[in-house]
Amino acid sequence: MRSTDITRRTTWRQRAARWLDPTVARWDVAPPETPEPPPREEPGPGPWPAICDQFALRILAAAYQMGSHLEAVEADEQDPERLERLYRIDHANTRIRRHAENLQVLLGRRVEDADPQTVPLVDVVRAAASAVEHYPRIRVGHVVELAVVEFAADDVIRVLTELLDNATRFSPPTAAVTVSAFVTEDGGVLLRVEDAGVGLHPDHLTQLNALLSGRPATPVALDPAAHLGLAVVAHLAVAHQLRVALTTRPAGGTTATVAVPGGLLCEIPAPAAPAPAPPAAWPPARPGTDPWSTPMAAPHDGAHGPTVRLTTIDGPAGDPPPTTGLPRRVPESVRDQAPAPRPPVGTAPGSPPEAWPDETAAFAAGVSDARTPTDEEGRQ
Amino acid sequence: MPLRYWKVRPYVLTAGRTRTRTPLLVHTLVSVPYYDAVFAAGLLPEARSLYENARRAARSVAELSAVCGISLGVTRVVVDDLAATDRLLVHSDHDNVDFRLLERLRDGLRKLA
Repeated sequence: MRSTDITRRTTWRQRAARWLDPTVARWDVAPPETPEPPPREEPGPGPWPAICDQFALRILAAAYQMGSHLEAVEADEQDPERLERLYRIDHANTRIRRHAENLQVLLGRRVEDADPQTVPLVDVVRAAASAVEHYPRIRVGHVVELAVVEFAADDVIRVLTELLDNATRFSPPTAAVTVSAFVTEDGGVLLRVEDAGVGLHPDHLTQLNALLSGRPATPVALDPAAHLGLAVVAHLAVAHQLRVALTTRPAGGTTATVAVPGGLLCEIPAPAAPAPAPPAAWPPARPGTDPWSTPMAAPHDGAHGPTVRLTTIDGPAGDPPPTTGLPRRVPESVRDQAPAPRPPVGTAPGSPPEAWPDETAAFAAGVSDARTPTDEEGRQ
Repeated sequence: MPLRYWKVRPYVLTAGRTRTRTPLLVHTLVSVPYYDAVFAAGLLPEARSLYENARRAARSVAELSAVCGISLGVTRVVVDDLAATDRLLVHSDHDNVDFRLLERLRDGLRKLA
């Protein structure tokens, strides 16, 4: 009675352990001869997908949080040594995010993008490279100037990440992996990932290509744990009708291609501001207010002419600053997020952007003026 | 240049490098010796933005970083890469400091104040 009780408890524990970790099955010491009902019902997914999904979400949330803090610290860091360490931390964090996202993909969940937006292909490529372990070996080749639409951008990045990861992992540690994007005849884009690895066995290649096209011919032939990345690729390829294929190059190495259908592509959206205004919160383009937006060819008027009056260095101090005075810095950070108030300008704008070269000339004139009196003083 | 997508991490823009061949301080001036539009078109967005912005006038590294919206660490390495192929000219400012001139400037500014 007591012994059967113990046996039953052990098997219950074993089953629970197997649930949590399939490798536990290998530790089985007790023979599987148990008075269990033989038709061990293969239960459905049970609560585990939902639980895994929750964990993935929490990991993602933590990774996002860490990422935004890191970004702020990285932007301020000036010491190369510390910056390099920050980069390593950031890189690890990015890979954590990638794995959590992949877990969600494999669970059949749609990964919620933190900030969905249309992404230019060059950024798709570089975002994909960001999450690859050996990213320094990735070279960006020719990338066509198109963008991937909002709802697919993140998934295309994930697909490319896994292909780049495979390419860098299975090629010599010094060889570069090149990624490029070309327009195809049917209006789509072909992403190519080219490595210089040893290549794949033809049989293996056929199996992998079958997996990637969403119809694994012989499911048993492939160890799912060994092809986690490609499983993710296969999932997403089916969802977005991407055609992913691996080919062996005669010269050696493997080329992975992703055909992105034309429906997922669009032009790169024009930036909101006409100028490289770093933060989004710049005051909307008012011509002439952004110091860097005005083209150099803007017409000059007399008020903004060269300012040779720099000799007034000895002039009365109480004078209001002349409108054509010294070159003036705008006393605000151009990186400020908030639309900081503009420095008060008089009736005439003090230092219009197009006057910059003139002011540089004026500064030089001032310098030479400052030199001249020295000589005079010396004579006196 | 629009802000780059948030998933493009800064380290990927420099292949993880943070050091430069020549010392580039925040106030080091850089300029474009001769502008090549074809070359500019072939650059990645960050390098292109820096190249285009340094074309108009000599600018300091810090200024370029702020104008292009690229962090200082990335700006340094990209500027250094462009300078290594002589596409950008780095004006090293250690040799010709005229202390007499600076003192006079200081005195003049004091009088203004």
